Amino acid sequence: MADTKIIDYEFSYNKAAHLNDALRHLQEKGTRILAGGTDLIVRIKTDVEKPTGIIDISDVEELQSFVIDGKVEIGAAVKLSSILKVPVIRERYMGLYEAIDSIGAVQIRNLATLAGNLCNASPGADSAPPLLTLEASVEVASLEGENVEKRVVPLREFFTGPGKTILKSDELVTKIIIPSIDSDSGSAFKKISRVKLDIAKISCAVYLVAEGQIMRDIRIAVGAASAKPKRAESLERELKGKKFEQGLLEEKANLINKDISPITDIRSTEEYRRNVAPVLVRDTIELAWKRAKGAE
Amino acid sequence: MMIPVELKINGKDYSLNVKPNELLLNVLRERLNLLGAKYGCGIGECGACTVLLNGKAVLSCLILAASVSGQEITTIEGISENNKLHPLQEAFIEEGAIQCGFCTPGMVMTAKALLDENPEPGYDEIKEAIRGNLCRCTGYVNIVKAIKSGSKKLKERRKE
Amino acid sequence: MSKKEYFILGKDYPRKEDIARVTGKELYPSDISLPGMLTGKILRSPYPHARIKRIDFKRAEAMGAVCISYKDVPDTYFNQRLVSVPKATYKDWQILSDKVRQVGDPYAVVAAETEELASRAARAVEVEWEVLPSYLSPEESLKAEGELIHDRVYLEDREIPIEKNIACTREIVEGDVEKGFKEADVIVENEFVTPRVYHCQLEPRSCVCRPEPDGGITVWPSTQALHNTRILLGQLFDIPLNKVNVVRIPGGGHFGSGIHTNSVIYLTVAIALKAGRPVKIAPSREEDIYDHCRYPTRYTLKLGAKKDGTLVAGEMNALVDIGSHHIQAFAFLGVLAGWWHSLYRLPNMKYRGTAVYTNKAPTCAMQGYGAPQVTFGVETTMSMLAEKLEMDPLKLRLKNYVGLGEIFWGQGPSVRSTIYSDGVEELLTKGAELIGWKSRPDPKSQTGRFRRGIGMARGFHTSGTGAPVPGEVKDYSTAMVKINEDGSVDLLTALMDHGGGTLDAAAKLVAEEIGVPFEKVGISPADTRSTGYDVCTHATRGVYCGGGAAHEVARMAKKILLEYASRILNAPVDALKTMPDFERNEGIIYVDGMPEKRITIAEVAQTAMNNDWGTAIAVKSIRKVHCPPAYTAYFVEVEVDTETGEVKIKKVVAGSDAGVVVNPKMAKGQLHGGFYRGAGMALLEDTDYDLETGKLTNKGLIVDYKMLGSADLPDPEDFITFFADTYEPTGPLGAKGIGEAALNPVPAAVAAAIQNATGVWFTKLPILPEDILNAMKERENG
Ligand SMILES: Cc1cc2nc3c(=O)[nH]c(=O)nc-3n(C[C@H](O)[C@H](O)[C@H](O)COP(=O)(O)OP(=O)(O)OC[C@H]3O[C@@H](n4cnc5c(N)ncnc54)[C@H](O)[C@@H]3O)c2cc1C
Ligand code: FES
Ligand code: FES
Repeated sequence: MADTKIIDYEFSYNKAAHLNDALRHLQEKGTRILAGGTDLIVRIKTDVEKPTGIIDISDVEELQSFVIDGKVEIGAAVKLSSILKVPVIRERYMGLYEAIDSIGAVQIRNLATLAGNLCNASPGADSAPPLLTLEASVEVASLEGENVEKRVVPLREFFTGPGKTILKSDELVTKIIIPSIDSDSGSAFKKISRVKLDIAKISCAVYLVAEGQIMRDIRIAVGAASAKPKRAESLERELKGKKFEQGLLEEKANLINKDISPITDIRSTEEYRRNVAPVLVRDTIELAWKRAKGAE
Repeated sequence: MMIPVELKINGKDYSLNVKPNELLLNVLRERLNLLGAKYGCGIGECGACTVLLNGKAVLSCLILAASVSGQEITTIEGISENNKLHPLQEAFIEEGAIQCGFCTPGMVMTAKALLDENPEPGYDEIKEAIRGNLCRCTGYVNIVKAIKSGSKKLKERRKE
Repeated sequence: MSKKEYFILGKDYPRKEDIARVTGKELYPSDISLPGMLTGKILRSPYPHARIKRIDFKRAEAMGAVCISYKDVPDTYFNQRLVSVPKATYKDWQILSDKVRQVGDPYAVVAAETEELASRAARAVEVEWEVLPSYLSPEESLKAEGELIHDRVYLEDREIPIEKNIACTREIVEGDVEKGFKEADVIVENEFVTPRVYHCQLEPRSCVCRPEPDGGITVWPSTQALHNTRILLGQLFDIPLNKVNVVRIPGGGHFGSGIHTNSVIYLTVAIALKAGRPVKIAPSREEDIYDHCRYPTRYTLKLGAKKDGTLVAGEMNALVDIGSHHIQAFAFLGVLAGWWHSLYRLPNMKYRGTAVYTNKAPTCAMQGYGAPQVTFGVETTMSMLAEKLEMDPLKLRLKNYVGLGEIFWGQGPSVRSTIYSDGVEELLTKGAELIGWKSRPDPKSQTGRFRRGIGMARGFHTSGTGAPVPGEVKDYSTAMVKINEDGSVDLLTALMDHGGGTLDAAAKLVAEEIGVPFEKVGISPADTRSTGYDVCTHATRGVYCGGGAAHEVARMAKKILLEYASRILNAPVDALKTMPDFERNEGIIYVDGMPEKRITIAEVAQTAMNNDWGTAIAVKSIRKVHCPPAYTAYFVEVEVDTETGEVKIKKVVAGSDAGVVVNPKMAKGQLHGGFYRGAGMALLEDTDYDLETGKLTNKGLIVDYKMLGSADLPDPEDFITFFADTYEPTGPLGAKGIGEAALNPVPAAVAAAIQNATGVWFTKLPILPEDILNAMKERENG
């Protein structure tokens, strides 16, 4: 039986001051990155993971950056609650804002990071759907000899399965990069969960660009409904370039079930997820539309 | 492996050596005799272990003590000045927001962090702010009321 | 007897414990730390049903740990719950056994210098298991072919035969049901299912024990029953009771999970005795969740009524999956019938209850003790009957409810008493007005995605378990009151306060009776050596029975005080009155009709001391011969999203008939809390087991035992509470109980509100969005 009161074994602990430092420690086998720890510590306590070393990146200077100049870059050590405080995020990236705001509770968001949410790679990671619709990428760093090597990976290629990403054990996400968004865009995020403080039964994010009554661009992503968070491409194709109409949404929303492959777990059933997916998608599109039209 | 840790807790400096696997909650409770923060779940779900880290509400059951060296921690023991209760504490008593009291320290700390940031929260903001604090006794009604009335008291006290 | 103006009752004061609790200074069992103390860890079974073939502590002991298994402890059979009399108490527990009966069942204990070391030592214990076939549902249990869960169960000293894992059964018949149903014009019959809710008291049940040099023990446990804990520990470890001192310490919530002496308590004692040092065991949440839960029920309920709405007959058949042990399933089967039969008059009734063992966490009382389970079915059936009879559901209830002057037996067939106060009509009328009952929607004509629904249910709980003739349940309390030399008062009782203000209520009753300001009454620290027996603070008996004893004893102490005063004032005792003087913060004694002839209580007490007359002090055990029904009614408004099945609670109106309300703010708090837990039972709480592994599907982690949170509940303004204006003539100064009544009708009321919105009656709890969606689809498809 797990023991969530204590961690009864010892591991090595290091706090990195610089990226280089962090990457060096990461080369040791069995070492795990600790950003906010809200996933990692729980996994250790519940016997899911047993790292032999922990490298704490919360103080790494290079990972604290928060850049907004057209595109948005969020460093891997930036706390979720800090992201929520940025006016641009609240005003222009409402889908992302709502998703982050729905994560855990304030005490969690004061510790947790966006990179941690993505690297944990839960199919229900709330920040993933909005970031997928924003076509975000992650910058990944590793050490080649003495040099820091970096590559940029589109988020849609990042997840490979439940709890799995393309990251190698010595790689670290340094930041999340969100390309600039259209001025006529609107976005939204909604999730259905057992109670407010909960991982989603199913979640949905929508980013769309309005041109008159036309949805010039629409991107939809769904969480907790497949092995990994993913875009709903068939539905997107059906809606893109179409006139925004209730009737159209009602008619097409069911297509979402082609894009997802939900399962039955402790939070809900496959059947329920399939039943509500079209409803949730419709609701989220409507909200994003209203926002794109400046009506909300 | 022992790690030296410097902490400012409730305004007082402490230096101690901790093992990497020691959790802040257990260090507060067992080493420093600060018993106000409680264990309720150990996995971030109940908020009973809430303390303030540099003024922000966090869960001490999910924090390695070694990771917060050099930082400032406030616990329930540190919020009443010169034996005068914090307005929130007064409000909790007046509104009947305390039953068994096991959630109270964590609840008050979360509420304090809220009011420090948002001095006049509405009911929705209060309910959202404490959604990570489990109270199995009160049904939250009197707690929400107490935080509201605490915010008014705090405003008055600040005027004084 | 009538209601009078009180000085103290009905007014709100800060509770005496509040300052300690709001500053983090209150100590709970898990906070206690003693010099030389070790920390213990309980080893818990990974299998639902298995036998230990070999257990080896060598490696753990080499790490410095003290260890015990079944080989190191007495092998007595007992029941953790000592509330019932011995002839009704089934004994199937042992301190530790070579057989485990559920995942999480304790099989050994280790203790070491630190928790970390204890935990590692626990991992170092080697065990070889013989895994047995397990039974994870009552249906499987009843078909048992292999080894039964229990081979030996005792009633007193008699070993009783166990067949097919049936723990016990009960049948109760009154009148002639067959004849009754023949007279009925309408009959409604359904099967109801209620969940295995986990108490989730915020502090996992914990304990500290210090062995004393004289061979005794001092114990700081999470418990609702100081004296029963002491008696059980004395029996188990063969220690005379004068050397078993159980100390009152607040628990971080109980909700019924501490009526019995949880295994953590005697296991702490066992390991402390072995170690010869103080030991604390403060289990993790995962351990606690395998330790106790609410009795789940599955029952068919059939009610028949005449055209005019008069109930004529009822039949109920209940199956209870009690898990791995008896924590008084026999009493539980009795109250299931009692709650049912005492809600509405039933001249003809037939009841059969069967309790079945399974390899799951043991079930025990949780707020309501079967009443929420039964009230759900009965209230739902009453509403269905009303529908069929085309009668107003409130009218049907008022016509049939068991009220003033009638005899009821809520706490089971052996606890019968007469009702002397009854606010039901007021609760229903006023509640209906406050929620807007008349304008509630017609479920048949509702359209649109979001639908509003208003539902109601009523219920009650007994204030204690007292009755004119003692039955299966023990029920008495002891109190001591003494008037100190400065006019202040000490109240000493083994009553427990779970957070609802029970001790303050007792102190208020004492203050009111003696005539001193509330602050003048102190609640003495209590332990089992200094207090007389009190059965337990359960069954909504705190104020009525425990407070009742305190009040009665205060009257006795006051009598002595007045006798002293009469010597000083030169006036007969009968002419003397007392009252608090709030300005001067003291109590006054005066001659009735001559208010200038007065003296302070302090002066009397001092004069008595200086003249060697003695202290005005009294102590007595008091048994209440009634257990008046504390009635409640809930009216709930919800909004259902018919496309996602999600339910939002929009408004709550809660009415309570608690007699004279001693602590208004605390009493309202009981209604808030009762509603919250009841709504959780209605909408989401349950514990399921993996049928392969026997483990909880939530793995013991509350991340998957969801409870409603602050953000899932309505604003304070949308939660309206009110109290019926009643006076309970058998109660202390007119008071009766509230606690469990605050939950009992809630699941039914929530279900009724959902029905009003969706047109579907749900008979299985919890009602998940998944269920609502399915039901809506079924309805649409005809
Ligand atoms: C009570 C509670 C409620 C929660 N509710 C939600 C919720 O509603 N929705 C939701 O989506 N999540 C929720 N979570 C999960 C969690 O809080 C989030 O996933 C959080 O964002 C993780 O961030 P972190 O910084 O704490 O990650 P950590 O725990 O520090 O790390 C998570 C994982 O990512 C790895 N990692 C971290 N940073 C990096 C990096 N820069 N590069 C490479 N690997 C890295 C770590 O090694 C670890 O494996 C909840 C957790 C708790 C305890
Ligand atoms: S103990 Fe930390 S959140 Fe529950
Ligand atoms: S008062 Fe008991 S948990 Fe909140």
